[in-house]
Amino acid sequence: MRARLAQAVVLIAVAALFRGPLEAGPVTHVLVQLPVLVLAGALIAPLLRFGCGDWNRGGWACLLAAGFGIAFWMLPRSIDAALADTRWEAAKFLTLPFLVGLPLAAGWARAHPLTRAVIKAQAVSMLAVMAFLYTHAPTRLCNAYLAEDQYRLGIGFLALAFAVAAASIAPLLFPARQQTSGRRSGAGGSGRTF
Amino acid sequence: MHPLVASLAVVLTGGVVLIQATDGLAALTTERARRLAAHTDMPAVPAFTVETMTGKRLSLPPNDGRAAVVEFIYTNCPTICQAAGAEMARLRDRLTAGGFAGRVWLVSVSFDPARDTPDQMAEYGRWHGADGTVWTVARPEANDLPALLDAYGVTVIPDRTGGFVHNAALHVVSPEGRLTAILDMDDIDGAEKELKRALR
Repeated sequence: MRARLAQAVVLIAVAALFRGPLEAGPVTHVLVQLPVLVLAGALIAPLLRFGCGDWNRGGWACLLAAGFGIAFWMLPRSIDAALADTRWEAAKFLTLPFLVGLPLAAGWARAHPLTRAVIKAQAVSMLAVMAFLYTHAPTRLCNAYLAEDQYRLGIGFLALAFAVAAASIAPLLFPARQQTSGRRSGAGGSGRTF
Repeated sequence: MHPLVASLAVVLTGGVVLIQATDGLAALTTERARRLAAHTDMPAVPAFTVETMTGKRLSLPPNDGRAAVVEFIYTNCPTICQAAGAEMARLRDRLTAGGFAGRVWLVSVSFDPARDTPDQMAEYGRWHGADGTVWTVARPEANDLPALLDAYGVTVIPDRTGGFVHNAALHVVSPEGRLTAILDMDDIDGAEKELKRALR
């Protein structure tokens, strides 16, 4: 349990210490730094016993909160704002662990397998749409990043869509290892996805 | 709390936040947001002293009863600024023909004041036909540059070939010094329409 807290602190520290290089390009900003912050929040969810009450039955309230948090940080203008304004940057470091990672883990833990399956399918389709958008947008979506990097981010979304799809069907292809690797890849997969 | 109530509360809160964060789902990007803000809020822009290509120091906005159309450039720009120069020339011709003579000032402001000396700016002006009467090229004081770019909502980033990339646009400033519209560089019709609104 202590180890989880330490891991979360290390992740947030890494995201903060390597802010410069991570935020220099949209690929590392969106596909490395943001997921690291989310993962930090997800790690401490069991420690806080967050979302154990009846209000979170089925994990719905938490998953919805995480969904809104993800939608918010998917807005190109939120990314621009975090780069231009330290208050937004601070908000990013607070909201991604505590309003996305934490509820995502607390919701996922109580979600019905069908709900989880729908979320995985939704994540794949959303990432594919983002991939199309970022590779085909005629203009720059972030004022702070170059068009060529925007295209690279689109390719990154596409790779991630394939990765989530592969991770989702892996337990079907390797049923013998489902108990151990399936669960681990599930947790890791959700951390990377959102 | 009943789980349905909790979920509804989350959806309501999240919905309100997302609507707030996107100006009613109208602006998902910074560029769209700043254009919307200019059109509806018409923020006052602070006055800056700029040095023109002839070495004259003038106030921007002009504060002499004229409206202004401001664009941002750097003269070493091989691509978009050259196209922008051609668009500014077209806009100048359209405005002169459309009865705006003497009522509008067109300014191409350099965000590379270290390299864009008056000589360099004059060269750019000659190349694109900016003679300084209706349309001039100018640079701010190096110290003022961040505040100037911030006031107009312009983000300049280095590209990987020694140049810059920026959110190029036409910025319409009313005679009262308010930023009333931000338009695509080639939106000559829109600029004419917005100038009519600014000069009303």
